Amino acid sequence: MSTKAIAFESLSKVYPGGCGVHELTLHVEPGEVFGFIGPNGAGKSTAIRALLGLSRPTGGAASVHGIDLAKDRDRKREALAHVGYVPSEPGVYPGKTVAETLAYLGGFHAADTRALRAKLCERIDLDVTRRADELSLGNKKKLAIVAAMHHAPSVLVLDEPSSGLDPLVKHELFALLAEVAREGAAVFFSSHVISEVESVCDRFALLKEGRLAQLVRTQDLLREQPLRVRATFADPTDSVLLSLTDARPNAAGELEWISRVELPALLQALAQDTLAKRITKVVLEHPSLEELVLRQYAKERAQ
Amino acid sequence: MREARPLLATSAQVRHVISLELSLSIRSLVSWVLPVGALLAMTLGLQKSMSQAGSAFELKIRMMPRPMLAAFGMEHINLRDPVGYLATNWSTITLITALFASLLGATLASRESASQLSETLYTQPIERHTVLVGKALAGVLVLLAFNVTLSLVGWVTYAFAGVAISRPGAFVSVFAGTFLVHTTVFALSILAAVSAQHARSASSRALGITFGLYGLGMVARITERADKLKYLSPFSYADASDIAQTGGLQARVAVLAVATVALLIAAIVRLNRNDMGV
Repeated sequence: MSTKAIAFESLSKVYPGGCGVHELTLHVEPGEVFGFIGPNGAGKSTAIRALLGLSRPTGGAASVHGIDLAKDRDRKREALAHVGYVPSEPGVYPGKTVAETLAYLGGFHAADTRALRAKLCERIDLDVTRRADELSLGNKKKLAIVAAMHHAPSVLVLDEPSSGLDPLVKHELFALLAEVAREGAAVFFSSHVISEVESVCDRFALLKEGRLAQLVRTQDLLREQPLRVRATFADPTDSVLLSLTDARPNAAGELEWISRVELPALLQALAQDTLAKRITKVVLEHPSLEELVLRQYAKERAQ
Repeated sequence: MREARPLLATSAQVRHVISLELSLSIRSLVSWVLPVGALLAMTLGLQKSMSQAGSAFELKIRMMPRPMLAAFGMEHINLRDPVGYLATNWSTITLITALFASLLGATLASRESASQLSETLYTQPIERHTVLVGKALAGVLVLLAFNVTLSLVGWVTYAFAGVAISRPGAFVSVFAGTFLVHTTVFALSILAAVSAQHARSASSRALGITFGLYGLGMVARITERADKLKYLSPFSYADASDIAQTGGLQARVAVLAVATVALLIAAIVRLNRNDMGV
């Protein structure tokens, strides 16, 4: 099997209207948590479906552990035995309980899934005695998460997994993802919520109109960004300060600007007498991934 | 590098699908068996009194226009023969029961897409055709149970009414023929459901096709010029009045078995080509 857990090689899936995914190339390694972000209709779910053999690509290929699920029919089951998938809109069998639904889905695997299933249900607080068709969206998501993980997959694909989950369960889910990645699984995490991607993903790809717009290591991207300075001054109308920076007042009454110099130089500048005496509080921070993505969207829209 | 994981045998997966589908279909089976069984029992319970009214009643029926008699399989009516009486009334019951077969096929085939489960199911280590084979076998078992139960209801009703079935082979053949019609309609409905773009249209499409095929059979019986249409209707291959007359199933019922298999293969091919969740 390939060392790449997930590989998209110039994958295209184009629908008659022209939308879909175009020439997508990216790889996910074992042990990596990979974020897949983009606005609605960017083609995230289309790419995932093509990867998992649910739809046929119109060009290129996608594979799991080197097996192309759309073409290599003989080895499709072999690859899917390694895959766990949380769809964006999980469904349930009407009239069945959570336990029955999970037992049915687990029954397609040769391995006994019961022990891990019980552990997962306990961790994300899923009541297995309830009828599945009476569950809220959040609980249906929990069911889908357990169903995707109870056979200890080495490739875990999640399409908008956190929608409908309460903050505690979300936190537990992210902890679980980090754990399975530490154990060697590749986690492919599609989300609208960029802050989630920032907190759990090692790398991420930004998809726009079906095309790969950005593929970077999350921490590298954040580190490369200039620091943002938020400072509270004794007198915010101080003309010296206003002329010193391109600062503008924010909603909290602080002056805010993006530093154009490296951290040591910035600290030195702030420590100067002229400034230090005027500042009552200062916060230095990297912009969030969400801000960067939104900034890029705005820039492209302006062009 | 990942080691290959052991896979569950395909036969075990088929059994797994059958067991779920049987458990989900049992309520539907009961809710159809009860009214249809009651209707059958009520109808057959009247055979003795009809038989006593005898020739006068038969004469009245024979005075009806030929196309009407032909349409409802009453051309060779013999109310004194329990099997003939069953066959006379069976035409309408066949349509009703075929609707059950049709709905069963559409429901089984579209269950996952209607419940947003296609993506979940087809990312398990199971082939699409294995799922469909499991569903088809479960459906055939349900239809078998349906027809066996109805035949027992008929048998018990006659026994209770003190009617002796002089030709038990012909009696059983009526239900066996209907079972084969059901399996064909069921397979056709599966094909219609997997070809439907939206799961919610699967049942109405399947019902429409079943009514259409029944109508073709009727038209073929009414008009000699349209006689060839009977070859397109599964209902014509196991007609109860023909069975009552000849005493058993004709060799042509084999067409139903072949058609059922061919339709299921076509459904598998279609399912394998479908894009899921789009």
